[in-house]
Amino acid sequence: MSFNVLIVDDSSSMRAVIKKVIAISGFKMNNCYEAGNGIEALERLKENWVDAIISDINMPEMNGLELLKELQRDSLYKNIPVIVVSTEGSSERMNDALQAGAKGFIKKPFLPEDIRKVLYDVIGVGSDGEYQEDRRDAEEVDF
Amino acid sequence: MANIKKTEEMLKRSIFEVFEKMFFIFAEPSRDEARFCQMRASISFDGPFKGEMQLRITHDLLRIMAKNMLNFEDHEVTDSVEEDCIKEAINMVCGNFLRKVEPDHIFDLSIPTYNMISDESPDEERDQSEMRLTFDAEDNTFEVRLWAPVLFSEN
Repeated sequence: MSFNVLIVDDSSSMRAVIKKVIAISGFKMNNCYEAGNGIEALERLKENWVDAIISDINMPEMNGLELLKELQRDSLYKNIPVIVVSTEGSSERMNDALQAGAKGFIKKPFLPEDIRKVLYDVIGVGSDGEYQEDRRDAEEVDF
Repeated sequence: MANIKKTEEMLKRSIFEVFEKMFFIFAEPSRDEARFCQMRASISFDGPFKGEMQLRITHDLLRIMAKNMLNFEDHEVTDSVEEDCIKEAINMVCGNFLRKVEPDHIFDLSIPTYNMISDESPDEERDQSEMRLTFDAEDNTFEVRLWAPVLFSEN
């Protein structure tokens, strides 16, 4: 099974790094969409279905927390798992992200294993890239 | 003084973590003044205390960082990639450092800015609320400057 992923980060370099890390993690990606901020992310979602969103917090126009709130307001999007990737890793910030609907949190700088582990926990994909049915209902990642 | 030493150690650890994990650069602290650095990125933060952080780096080292981070060949590193790379570096160092200093509190970070330093522009004089750390890496040099009056006050 392969997945569609949306990567939201104002740095095109960071988007490229995350995309490469997901690829080398054995995660089978069908389409990888990119957006530079929350507004662009919502535009991408109007045109494409995605199985997971990986988003930064600190972005211009609409930041990651605002994007999470917008997604939660929309019945079509609110069940898409969102993983936040951010330098802002205080416990309070992580709680804010979880309360706003995030399912996982990765602190920058990260190692490829960090992304692989959170992808596995959040959307049930193993290191072999295979869909893990019993992980599909995982609620939250234990930080 | 103990506070300043602790701050310096936390800042060094953040720099090492970011440069090693994201850019595969192993830096060594240097006692010398930084050589002329052509590129500069800045970020400000506000929360339990306010401040600003700046990364100054040689153009050659920035290109190495960009190549390492993205696994690019030399000709693939454009001006835009360099700008993205230095802004992401200061963003990560600053965020990493602040969560070491105040792990339970939120800081709002600005969007990083970037500019080139003219070799004719005089360097700013160091003030008491500032820390400067210089590093050697890959036969190049870089410097991180931190302004945070609360951290460096004597009281």
